[in-house]
Amino acid sequence: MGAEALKGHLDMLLLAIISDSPSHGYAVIEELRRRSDEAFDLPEGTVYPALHRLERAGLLTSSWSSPGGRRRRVYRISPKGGRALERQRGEWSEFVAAVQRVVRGGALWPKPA
Amino acid sequence: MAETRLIAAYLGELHHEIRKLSDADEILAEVEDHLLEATEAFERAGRDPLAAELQALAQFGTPSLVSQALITEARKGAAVPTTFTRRAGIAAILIPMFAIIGQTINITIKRGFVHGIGVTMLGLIVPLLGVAIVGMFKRHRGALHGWGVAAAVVFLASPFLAVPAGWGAGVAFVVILMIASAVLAIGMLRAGVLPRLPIIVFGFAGSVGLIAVLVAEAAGAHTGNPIVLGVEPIEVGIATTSLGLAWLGWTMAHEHALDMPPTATPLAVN
Repeated sequence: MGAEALKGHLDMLLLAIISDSPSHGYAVIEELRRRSDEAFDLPEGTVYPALHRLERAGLLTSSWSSPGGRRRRVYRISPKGGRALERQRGEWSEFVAAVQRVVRGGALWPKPA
Repeated sequence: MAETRLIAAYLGELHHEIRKLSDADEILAEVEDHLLEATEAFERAGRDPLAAELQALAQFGTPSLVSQALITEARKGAAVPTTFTRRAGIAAILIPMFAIIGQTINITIKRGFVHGIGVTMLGLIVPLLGVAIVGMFKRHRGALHGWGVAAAVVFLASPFLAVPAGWGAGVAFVVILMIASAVLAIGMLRAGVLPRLPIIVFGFAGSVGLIAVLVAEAAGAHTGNPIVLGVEPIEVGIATTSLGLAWLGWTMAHEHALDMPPTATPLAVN
């Protein structure tokens, strides 16, 4: 599944992963791949602009650490990000439920006699 | 420690691409950390150092692809739709409606309660315009750069700049607002946050319409008929700018607000 399929959902996925545990970029991307059973295959470098945007929007915060002498940026979810994630989860659940009702055989139109 | 000659070359190329970004050094440090960790992971999985490095770079994306994404997002700043920007969008939609209805009432009904309603609607245009403009600035937070500052200065100074025009202050005020709108539109187009067409209509159609009617008038004046189109130039400018503003408002009012609590009722259907 490529970047196009992820379009519009990447913010929610990143927030969901980071809300579970503060993480650096590589760990976030690995977790995204692991949880999706490697279904989400996009150029890893394109995830960083999304992380930066979420930080600028106040949904994430970041701090620098130095494990093994290497500079590492660790992202945490902010209270505002937590609220945004909660809202997006709710909308996503409603959307998935509605789609499932349709594709699993609910009759949208009355059948002709 | 992983072999890093290819990573160093990659970082050099990426640095060249994003050198104008204010946080380029931080981005490079973050990318380097990612690439080194990925390379080490591939080495642990059994790849030789060179293959591991190549695999890490291949999965990360080319410097041009990554830099393009970084620059695009940096231009947008912290530009996200919020509850306020959606309400500002509704304010922008109301402006031309209030102008048309209010002015129609004002002209046709000269006294009484209904006339008062028309005048009130016309008076409400000013605060609605303020909310709409502030909303557009907030929708582009951090993305307008110098164009936003210039537009804000002209917007705020417009009443004072118009005063010296004396009896023509009203017309001068509108013309200055159009100039500010054009400056703001340039910043918005560069930011690439909202669709281009409504921005162009908002920022430039008013000025173009104004100039077009003035040119037509000049041609008419030569034949002794100064207003060949039967409309005042300033009205054309106001109408077209308002149309663009309402169009932008429609777009903003229909966006998902990131800060909306789960229980809140959306202002518009998404």
